[in-house]
Amino acid sequence: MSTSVAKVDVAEVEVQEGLWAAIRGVLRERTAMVGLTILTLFVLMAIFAPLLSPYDVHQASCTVFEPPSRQHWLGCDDGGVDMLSLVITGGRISMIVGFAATLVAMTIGGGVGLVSGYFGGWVDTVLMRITDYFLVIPDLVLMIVISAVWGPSLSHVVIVIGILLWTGTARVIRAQVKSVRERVYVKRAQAIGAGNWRIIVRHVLPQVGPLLIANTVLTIAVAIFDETALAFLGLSDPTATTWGTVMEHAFDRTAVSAGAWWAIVPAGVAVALVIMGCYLFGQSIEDALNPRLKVAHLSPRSWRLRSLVGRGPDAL
Amino acid sequence: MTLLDVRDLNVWFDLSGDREFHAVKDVGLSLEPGQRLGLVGESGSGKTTTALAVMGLLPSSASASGQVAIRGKDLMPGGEDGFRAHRWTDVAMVFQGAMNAFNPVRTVGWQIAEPMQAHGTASGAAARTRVGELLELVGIPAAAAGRYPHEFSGGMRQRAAIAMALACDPKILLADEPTTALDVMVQAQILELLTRLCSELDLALLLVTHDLAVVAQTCDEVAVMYGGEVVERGPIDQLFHSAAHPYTRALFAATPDLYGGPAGGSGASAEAADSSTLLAVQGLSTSYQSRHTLTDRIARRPRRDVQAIDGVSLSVAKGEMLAIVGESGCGKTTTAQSILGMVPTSGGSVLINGVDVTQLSARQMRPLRRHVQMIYQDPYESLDVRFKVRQTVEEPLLVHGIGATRAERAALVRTAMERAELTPPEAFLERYPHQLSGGQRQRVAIAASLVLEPELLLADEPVSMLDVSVRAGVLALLDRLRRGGTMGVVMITHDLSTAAHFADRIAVMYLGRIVEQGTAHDVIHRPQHPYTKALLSIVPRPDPRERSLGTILRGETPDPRNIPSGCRFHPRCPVAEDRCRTTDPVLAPPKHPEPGTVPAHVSACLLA
Repeated sequence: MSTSVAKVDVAEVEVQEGLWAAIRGVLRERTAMVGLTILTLFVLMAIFAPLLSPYDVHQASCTVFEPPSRQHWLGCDDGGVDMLSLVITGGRISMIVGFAATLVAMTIGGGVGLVSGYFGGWVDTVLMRITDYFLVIPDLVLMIVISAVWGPSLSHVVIVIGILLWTGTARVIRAQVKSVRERVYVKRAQAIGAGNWRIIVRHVLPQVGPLLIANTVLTIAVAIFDETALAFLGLSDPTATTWGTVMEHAFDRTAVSAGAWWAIVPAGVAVALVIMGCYLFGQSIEDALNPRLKVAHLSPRSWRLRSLVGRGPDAL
Repeated sequence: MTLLDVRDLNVWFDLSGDREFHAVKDVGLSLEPGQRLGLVGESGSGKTTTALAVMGLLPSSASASGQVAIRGKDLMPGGEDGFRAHRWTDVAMVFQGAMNAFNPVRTVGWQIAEPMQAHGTASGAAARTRVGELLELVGIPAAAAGRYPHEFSGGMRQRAAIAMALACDPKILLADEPTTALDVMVQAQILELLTRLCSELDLALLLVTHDLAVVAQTCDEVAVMYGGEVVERGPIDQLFHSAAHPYTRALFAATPDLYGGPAGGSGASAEAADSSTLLAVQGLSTSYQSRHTLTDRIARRPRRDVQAIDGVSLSVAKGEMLAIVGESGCGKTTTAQSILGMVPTSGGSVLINGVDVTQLSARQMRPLRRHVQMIYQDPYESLDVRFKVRQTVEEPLLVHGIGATRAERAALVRTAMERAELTPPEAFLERYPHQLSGGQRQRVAIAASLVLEPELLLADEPVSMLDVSVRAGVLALLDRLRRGGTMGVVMITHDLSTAAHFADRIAVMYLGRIVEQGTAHDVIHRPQHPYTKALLSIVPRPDPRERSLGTILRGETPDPRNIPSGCRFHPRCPVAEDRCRTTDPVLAPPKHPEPGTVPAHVSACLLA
């Protein structure tokens, strides 16, 4: 109670500089930097995959399940294909699918959240009941069913993941929009005569944008995980090289009983690293957005006593 | 020995990047038992920080030096721990917004007893007895100790917060803006309570506030803070009559006095009202629907809609300013929202230039919105923080498709900003709201309204969130704008002094109705309705000689969900008779008009 009172005085002194200060604040966090570095490295890897892969992924370059060596850093798979090249190339499609599915999910989730939160009333009721419905369906089970019915294909995987991952975002965005639309400047825009579309695009969306970004980053992690899971279960395009299919092939072709751990672990580690990167980065954005986490009044540290000697020159 | 002796107090706050902010500079204060000292200053002047330093409750980003001595014992060398033993037993504080800081899941009595237990001054039955005594002392029945904070009204919670501060029998009470969020009538009650407690308990009071009039009514002495320093200190009468520091003089000059200055109501504009009526509201009613759930319907509970305003009639002419005055919940903001077409009305008409806007759909209304613009109370809330000033002022033009080219719009934006006295406009165009002061922000909001060249401006408490020294400027701006002759202004305010100074006519609202309406001069100098009389009698005056307890109405701000029968004001009316309980009065001219009263002066009282 007491410090929140004193904070008013300090807050008036400290100059905030809006969005850029927020971004700088996020980047000052060490976890955010670690997450962002991981993600950047993987994105660069995916973009420059053909240049980085030491061997062709469609041709055998060594013996079956050859262990890691100087020529083949991560060993080889059951077809004698270089594992490092597979992980680099597989990352490309895994990440494209992950990003594309996230785009679908964020478009649906952001749209539903905006419309539902902004218009309220029966629109809100209907959209939220639909959201609840999707929320209680076990994701993976439905994904498996739909992929099995539609047949294995990358675009199906994108759509299936996309239409199942939007619910959380929709609810979070709706809650935020509901609070933003009660702000006085939104009322003022209405009083000026601005239409709903203008208010949503110019006043509401910029306010919920950072939250949407944080959710996007966190959803990418889940999308990549789900893509790997579907591919591992053989429900993705079998001809595409992804981290999931790499692991599936190794699993199917007795890599485990052959003791060829290098055929499974590298792709798994890659998935784990990307997910970790997403979480570290997404979480720091969320922390930066939520000033409640920064409140220091529970800190055991006390204010300090200064001797009169060390006074600044402006004291007298 | 001096009870509280603060000397050379300095407080610094750490800012990011090794910078620091010197918030309190060499402040000295002293208090004797029973003395009431007012600490006055604007936001950021360091007055709250000074009070917190006296409590030893600075945040961890602060560092401090100097002396804070209680009965000759300097507590500063002991740091935070040195203060703890004296907190609440010697010096207690009513924090800003304390009335909203109660724990909702504990009873009020439990929370008042908590500091006694913490300090071991009382426990068990003794503590319960003490809580009862304390509540009685602040004017709450002792039986209310078992109730929860949400069952208390704002005024009662503030009383309870004061009771909590008195729990351990302190000798010094610090009160930080104790009346700021309260209604005028409740403010008067709380100030009366603080004054009474000081003399009854021989308590020393340090009243921290931005409102010089509050200090003038309550304190013996005043210390004026500016930029972290005490710039002037002395007995309140002396400062009122011969302030030495220019800032103190400016502060007194900026505090409007109810009867000082010319009442804005010049008879000329009242006559002009008939010739060019801009806004005519007739019998306007607005009710908010309460939730009527399925279970309510099954249990056949009746719908209990809240009648926010009931049969309000008023008019505004071009070049005229009408002030609507009343306590919170009286329906003054709802009246503005209804005129603006932002809430659905349930009866009556709102004619703007002869067009009844209550009959229009939202879509039909939209192009007409440019004629009626609203200024909101809080300029910190009403501007989009992501918009530069230029974007904010330009937005209405884009909405209404005014100004075909960018250059054309830029010229209109410049003109509007110059009219709002943001000069030169270039200095402000590319700034964001957080880079502006409160007064500048309000001017930006005004410019964004002016850019549409509206005929009617609704201003909802346009200065209540601003610092005292900039209030006068913003009000003077509104005054000049309407004197231009093309625009009428409706100003909603709780402050009768402001209304008296700037408005031509005043409408006093109580529980959704206008109870008195007339020229500002008539309403202020010849009030008819007992409610108006009571409101006038408690307006804090900056002149300490005008200190009077006035007619402080008992009880709380009325609840529009529970409207009394007969005259709505009768439960609080000091002169109510039996017939007031049954007969609902209508607005009528006084039966025995005093000489010189303009016939347009009407009030709704059976006894007037």
